[in-house]
Amino acid sequence: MNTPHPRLPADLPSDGAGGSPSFGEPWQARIFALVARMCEDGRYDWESFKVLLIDEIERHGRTDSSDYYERWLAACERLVTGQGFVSAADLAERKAELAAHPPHPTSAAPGPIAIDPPRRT
Amino acid sequence: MSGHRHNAPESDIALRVKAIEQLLTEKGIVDPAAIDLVVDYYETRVGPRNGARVVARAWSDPDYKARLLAEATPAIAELGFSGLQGEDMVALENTPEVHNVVVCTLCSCYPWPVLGLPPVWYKSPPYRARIVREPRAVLAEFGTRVADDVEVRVWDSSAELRYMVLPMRPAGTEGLDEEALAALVTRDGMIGVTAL
Repeated sequence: MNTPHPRLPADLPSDGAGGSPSFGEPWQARIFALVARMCEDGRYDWESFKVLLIDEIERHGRTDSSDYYERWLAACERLVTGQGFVSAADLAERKAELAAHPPHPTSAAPGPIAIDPPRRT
Repeated sequence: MSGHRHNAPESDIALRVKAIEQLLTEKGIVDPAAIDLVVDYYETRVGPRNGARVVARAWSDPDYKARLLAEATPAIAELGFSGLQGEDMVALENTPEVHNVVVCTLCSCYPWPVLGLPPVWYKSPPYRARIVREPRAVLAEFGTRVADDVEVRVWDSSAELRYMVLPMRPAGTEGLDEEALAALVTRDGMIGVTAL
């Protein structure tokens, strides 16, 4: 067992073999995998992403590790725009569209989505 | 049933991720199915168990250990582990005189193929700073008391070199086979923040 300590702002692993979660939310896994995949596919050189990631982390030096993948995302945005894959304007526009048109809009009233009534014979 | 919501508004940050993925997909730069595979690979298939098998082999086979310490990348590849972020591996042997511990002071360089993705604390600024300044104190916080006469070496992983620690084989394990030995090896032991 490890001993948590207040000065490490981390959920220290409770077991040795990989207890603490690496991804807190699905988007973190997504952006991680996207960057990894593009590198494996030779779309860019790892070093060029690493430089951006370090820069993002240094610019937010006072933060804790909970926002690590936000730095990763910001570095990825700079990477894909810097490489000319997409423009920053396109990214902003698409994000606004997604926000305006959620894929699964809120229904007006809570209630069952379907009812299969009792059968009478 | 307020706990069951598909339709909670997505966070700003999740939308940014979605926008990137959609646009890159439309331009043919990424394939969402390929991204699914990467997520699955790192979440379920790679991880510290790979590294544990490397350590167990090194404990069991002196020739393998010599190869691992001389040139880790091909020795690790012998067991089938290689790939992104595992290209330039160095294995550091803990001995009664030397305790090794690994950090990435700049970001989070980490040997993914043998250890999976780094734990949260490995990426935290306090770990990255303090393990360099006061390694014995940080190790003590992990429950690791390093004797005063043992040298502590802190290694800074980078994009060029990624370190894993070869922990000392625990006493009383002489009769164990590789599989049983691998079960004793922990991720934290291979980062060097704990002893086994």
